[in-house]
Amino acid sequence: MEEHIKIQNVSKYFGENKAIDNINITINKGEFFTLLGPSGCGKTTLLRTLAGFYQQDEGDVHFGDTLINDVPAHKRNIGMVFQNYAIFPHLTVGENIAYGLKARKVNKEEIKVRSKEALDMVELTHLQDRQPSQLSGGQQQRVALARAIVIHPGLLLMDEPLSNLDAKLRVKMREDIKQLQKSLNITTIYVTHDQEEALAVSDRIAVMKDGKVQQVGRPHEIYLSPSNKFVANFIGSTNFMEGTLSGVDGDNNATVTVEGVKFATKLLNRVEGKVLYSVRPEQVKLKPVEETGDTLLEGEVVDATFLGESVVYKIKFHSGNVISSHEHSIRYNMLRNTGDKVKVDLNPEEAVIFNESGEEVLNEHKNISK
Amino acid sequence: MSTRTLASRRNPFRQFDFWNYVTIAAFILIAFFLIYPLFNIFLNSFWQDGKVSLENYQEFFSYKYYYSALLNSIIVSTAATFFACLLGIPVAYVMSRFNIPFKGFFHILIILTLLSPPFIGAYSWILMLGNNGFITNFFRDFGIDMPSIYGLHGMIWVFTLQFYPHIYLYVSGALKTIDVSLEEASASLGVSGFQRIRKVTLPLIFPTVSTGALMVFMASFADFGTPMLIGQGEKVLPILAYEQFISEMGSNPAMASTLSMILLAVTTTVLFVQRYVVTKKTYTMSALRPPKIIKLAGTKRVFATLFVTAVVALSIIPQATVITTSFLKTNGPVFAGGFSLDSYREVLYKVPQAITNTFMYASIAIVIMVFAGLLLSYVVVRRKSKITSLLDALIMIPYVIPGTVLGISLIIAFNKPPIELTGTWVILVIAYVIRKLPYTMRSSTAILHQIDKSVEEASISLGVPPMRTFFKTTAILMIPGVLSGAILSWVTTINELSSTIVLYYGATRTITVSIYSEVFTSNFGTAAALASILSLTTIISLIIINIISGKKDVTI
Repeated sequence: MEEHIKIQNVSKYFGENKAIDNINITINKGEFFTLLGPSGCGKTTLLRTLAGFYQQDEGDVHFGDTLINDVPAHKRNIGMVFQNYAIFPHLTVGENIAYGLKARKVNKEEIKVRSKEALDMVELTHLQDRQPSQLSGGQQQRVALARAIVIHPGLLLMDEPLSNLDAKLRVKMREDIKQLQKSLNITTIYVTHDQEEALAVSDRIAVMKDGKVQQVGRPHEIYLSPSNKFVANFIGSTNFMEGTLSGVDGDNNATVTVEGVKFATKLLNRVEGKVLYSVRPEQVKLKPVEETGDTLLEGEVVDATFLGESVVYKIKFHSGNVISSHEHSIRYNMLRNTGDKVKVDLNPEEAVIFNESGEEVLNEHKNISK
Repeated sequence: MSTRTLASRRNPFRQFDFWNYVTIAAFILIAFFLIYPLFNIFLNSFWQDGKVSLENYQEFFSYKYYYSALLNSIIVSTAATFFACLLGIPVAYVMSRFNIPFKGFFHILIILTLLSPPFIGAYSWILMLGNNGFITNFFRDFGIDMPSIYGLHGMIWVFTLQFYPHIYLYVSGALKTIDVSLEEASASLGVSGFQRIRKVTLPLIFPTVSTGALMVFMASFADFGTPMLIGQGEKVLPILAYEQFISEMGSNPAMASTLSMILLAVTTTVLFVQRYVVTKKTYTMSALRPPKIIKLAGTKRVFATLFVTAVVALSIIPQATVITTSFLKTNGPVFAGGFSLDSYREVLYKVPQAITNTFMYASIAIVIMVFAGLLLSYVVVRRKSKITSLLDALIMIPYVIPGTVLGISLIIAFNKPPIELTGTWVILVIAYVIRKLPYTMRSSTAILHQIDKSVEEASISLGVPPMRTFFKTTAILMIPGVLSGAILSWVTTINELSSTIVLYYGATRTITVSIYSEVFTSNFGTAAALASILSLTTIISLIIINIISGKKDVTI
């Protein structure tokens, strides 16, 4: 795959605060790349640095072979979609879309053709002569998108473009954006704090926290093999349990003890001691209480929340610790009630074992990408 | 540490753009036309017979002639401020809480009162209650002697009626943001009626009232025309400064400077006291439930309406009197009976230049103010830093400078080569821009705060350089706000007397100066015609502001 955007050792300070800290990311041509993280993690700062609205204090950014550190924002040929749309309120829809083409001195005929093309793509052809104030939020967002792609930008930047839309429209728009991005094959960097949105649209995701990149990977990679406690917790939800590693041998085979139950595990390095055992609620398997086995734990259902497609159970162990478990609600008679006793399989095959502080993955698990 | 030094390889001047030049230019102009002249009179006040001395200040405080003017000024301004609160707060309360009719109309009349020049009010009270006033004459026919309008009480009367709208406007604004649940809570605790207003509502709006009171005090303290017309022997500071400066018996710039410094000392002290008091008593309120209009019924509603009508009528009477007088047949100070347009004919024949001057200078000033408002508010709002905050503060300084003081300082600074501006129209325009720019700035910054910053970024990302982006997007979006502020500046410019009277020369006289001299030579008809021209222009300008801003609220 052809490398397109190369971000090397980029840092940006605001006063003494490091808003982004030594970022290294390479983005491929045509890739849909998402910066995901909680507010204040530096994702928007990084995006605005790429757009040229901020100047990084350290590091280099290349677009293709061109070093663009000192290229001003208006010469970067970037299409940008803003969180609040940033439609020019004094121009019609058509004038909004033609704005960037006029700045590029494209001739009138071509402006017409390309504007129509862009409007068709976002299904707004009939609204060409409207004032922005007459448009709904979703329509404004489409105008913003059309305005950004009509200039045939080398790079498309999107800053939380869907956060001001209602939930249903958000799902529809994100599908449209993904489809449009694929059909134009335009390298796209997308900023969001919504992990579900990120998983749905992205080719790859960079999870950020405190100005640093925590993990870069394809959606299923960061979900199934999070590289640290923060990622595991931020993407989806997970059960963290205290455990102990012991008996590590020459082949890095060891035993992990959680809630008094011992599982065999294969480690990446020879380590022993306290660990953090992470297993996602849907990976926790509930069994009938009659079932027996060395790796099964007994627990009691203390809460059941029916969500339609799934049920969330809170299970309490004899130790007093509580974990959650998701089950698909397939059959009526499979539903469990509060007070039911169950057997729990903590599924060590799919679990991730972190060191005690949660910074580092210790085990080789079946989801790990090689 | 090593990472920090790396940062220095970035070119620091990449951020140095058009806006930095605007900031620098603004600082230079302010330093030249505001700071330097003020500093100059400051030095001047300590200069006597070629050496530094405190003689001028000693003289001021040892002669009753001088210090009694200071006392008069303080008495008049304090009393006017007190009475203006007494009028303004209840009017605001009734207007914003009760269902009285013709609210919009009353509101416009109140604003009109505020915008018309105070000396026209003074003049028209002379027409009514002066030695030859028609009310005075009317009662004299019945053998009743009306109290004279001349003197300190006359000034207090005029200032109160002229400036209570400041209180009204500020308090109305504050009353809209009070959360009713606070008042309801106090009612539920058993405090009701007037007690509640005194114990809850008034303390809550106190900071706003004090800001309005500050405006009233400043305006009364700095006014030149009113005390000149109805002071009659009772001098106030601005008059004294003016007379010292333009005395037929040889002017005394050193003493005029000293008086100016004392004027400035009082206004700045009052400003800081007000700010200090307010910071200690400010409550942030978000009106979760803004007050509802209370529907009064029957007599209560009639009384509330009568009260507002009485106040508004009393304050608008001067305007009506002036306009009526302008259509009366006059012969000098004598009203000949019957109506005619003679006064207008005479005005066009006698002082056509004053009319063209007024509109020309105000128009030049408004053009400068629109550009300055656009650029400077952008710098202050979008390039917020310690430097631009200082710039903002400097631009607002003229709020506390009485017009007379500004006029005197400009003349002293620019009456000799290399820069000799005295007697030219340029110096008038400079004075107008300095004095009235704060109005334009206020509404420009207000609208800029509402304009989405990312609109500009969108334009830049689409390939339009920052400078052109500003003029293609933000500047266009700012126009309504800038214009409504600029029109306000324009209205107050054409009505300006206190600095013009110091700065004008025969050929650069304006309408206000002409009215002033016509009144002094007892040509009441022509004075009224000129004043009516100003009133009409003011009304039209107000209507234009309303159309542009598209809402009822005008911020002064």
